[in-house]
This record gives sequence, structure tokens and C-alpha cells, in this order.
Amino acid sequence: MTSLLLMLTGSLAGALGALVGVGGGIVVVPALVLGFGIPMVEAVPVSLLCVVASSCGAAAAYVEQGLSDVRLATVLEVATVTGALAGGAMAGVAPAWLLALAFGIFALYVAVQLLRRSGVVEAEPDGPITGTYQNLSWGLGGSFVAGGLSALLGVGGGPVKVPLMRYVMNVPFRRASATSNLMIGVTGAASVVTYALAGHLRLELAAPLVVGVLVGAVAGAKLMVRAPIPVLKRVLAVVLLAVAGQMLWKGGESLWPMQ
Amino acid sequence: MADAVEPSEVLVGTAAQVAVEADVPVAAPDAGERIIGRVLRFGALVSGGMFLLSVVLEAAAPAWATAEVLNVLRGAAASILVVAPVARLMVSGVWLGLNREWRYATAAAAVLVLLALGMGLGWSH
Repeated sequence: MTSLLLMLTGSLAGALGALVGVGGGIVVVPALVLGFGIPMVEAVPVSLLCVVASSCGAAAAYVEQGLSDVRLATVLEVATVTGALAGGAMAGVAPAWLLALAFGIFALYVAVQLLRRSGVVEAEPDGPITGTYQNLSWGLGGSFVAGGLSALLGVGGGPVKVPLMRYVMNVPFRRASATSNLMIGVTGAASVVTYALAGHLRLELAAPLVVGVLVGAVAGAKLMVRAPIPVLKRVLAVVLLAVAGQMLWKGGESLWPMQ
Repeated sequence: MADAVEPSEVLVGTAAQVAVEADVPVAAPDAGERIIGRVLRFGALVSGGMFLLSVVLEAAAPAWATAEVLNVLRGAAASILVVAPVARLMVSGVWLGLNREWRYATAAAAVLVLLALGMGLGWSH
């Protein structure tokens, strides 16, 4: 029964990750911690393995369909990984609560903007699949920040990168989501290895989740190319609201510690 | 960036935009992208199959499927899954290098070096 529930949780996370390029950690971590009573230190590495699975399952389809931009992903990955390394180095120095609050407010703002615009028919630009990218320097800067936040706050890069690619670099929404899916697997894999080497990866917990994630990711990848873009934007907005809630809670908890 | 491609404009209501909205693939994948897709699919299918087998064996509990056997199976599945995106990055670098897209090939190599550095330093997230 537990395995079945874990598979269902994984399916939801995989589908969500494939739809909007966020990996699915936003589902897996709360489900494991609150629903299954798994400590956070064990939930996070399992969630990261699910992110890798979601990335592999969905990105395989997206790359073969010509939706993921391999070149853009490669360039932005340099900034993301550099940002993650810088964030890791600053981990003991930077005020995490302040960053969490700032990121929570930012995620809330982006979510509200997405919801406000979701009903409006927007022109989806024909961004280049190969070649010159608009506002690349901003994209690199944003990816660096996304990597840093990932290391400092434990949030995945997807909720930052998809809006960044869409609204700053003018990449079409579906391509931004598909490219984000391609990118998150690499950083997730590196993180999983580190946790596994430290002995924090519980494979018996991961097994049913990953099976579910892969099924969900394949289904989500099929759905993503058919779903109307306003619907995808609303899904991303809901994910961002959840991220905002988590970050504001995390920041607020440091300001007003629970007794 | 590929030299042959001109900077794009923001196109409003163009045929290309309609193509995107109508779910037409933006560009046909070339050989390199097909290989990248296969690498990722192989990782997902093989590791997923092994993880599924471990779940089934755990539920069925045959005498030979000891905890040690299941751990080996899951460990191998996780290893394949984790290697897939890194192998994808390597394939991307080689493919872009063969296309003489040196900027992107260098970027792929840089990511691999940074990942190795990060893991050496004890990557946390």
C-alpha cells in the first residue's frame, strides 16, 4: 500500500515537472515529510533523484521533438552550476532567512503576474532554436542567481528559469519549460551523488517514487505539447505560489521562531 | 552562437508563432539531438525497469530476493539514472564540437569541469 501511494505521489510530481519544467521536488518533499513522516535530510536526496528521473523521462521526448534547446541549456548550465558553487561557498555567511523572504516575495510577484496574464492571449515569440539569444547576459545572470538560490535555499532552479527564459529571454513558453527540464537533470544528478556518498539516499524509498515519476513524466510530456499555454502558465503560477509559501514560511520562521 | 543565424525579432502573430501554438515541432531534431534523446530514454527506461523490478520483488518476497540483492539492484538503477544526464552533457559537448560550434562545446566541457569541482567540494544542493 505504501509503495502504491509513493508511486502515485511520484506520478503527480513527474507530470507536474514535465508540464512546467520544475522537477517535482515541490510535491515530493512535502509529501514525504508531512505524509510519510520522513525526515527532511532523507526526503531531499530522494526528491533530487526524482528530479533526475523527471528530467530524463520528459527531456528525452522534448529533445527528440525539437522542443528543448540543447545549446541554450548548455550555456545557462554554466551559469547555474557556477551560481550553485558560489551559493555553496556562501552557505554559512549569507542570511538564508532574508534570501528566503526575498525569493518568496519574488515568486509571489511572478505567480500573481502569471495568473493575471494567463487569461490574456499573448504572442508566443519565435525565439531562435540555435543562434543569438535575446538578453543572454540577463539570462546568464538570472541562471547564476537561480543556482545560488538552489544551493542556499534548497529550491530547484526550474521556478526561476522558466519565467526567466520566457519573460527575459523571450523564449516561447513550451520551449522554456522543455529546456528547463533538460537542465535540471544535470545539477540534480550531481547533488544526488553527494548525498548518496554521505549515506543519506534511501533507495527503498526512492524505488517506487522513481517508477511513479517516470510514468508521470512520460504522461506529462505528452500533455505538455497539447495543453493550451494559458493552462500551463496557471500550473506554473500555482507551483510558484507553493514555492512562495514555503520560502515565506522558512524566512518567517527564522524571524519568529516557534516555541 | 551559431554564426549563420541572425538575431531574432519578437514576432507577433507570425506563422512561426502559430506553429508553436499548434504544437508543431520548432525544429526537426538532428542526429546529435536524437542521440541525446536516446541516452536520456535509455537511462530512464533501464533504471525505471530495475526500480520496478525491485518493488515487485520486495512485494513478492521470493527466498533469493534478500535485502542485499534488492540493495544491489536499486543501487545499480540509481547509478544508471544519475549517469544519464551527465552522459547527455558529454554527448552534447562532442556533438557540438563535431559541428564546430566551439562556444557551446566549450560550455559543455566547462559544466562537466564545474560539476566535478562541485562534487569534489561536497555539493549540497
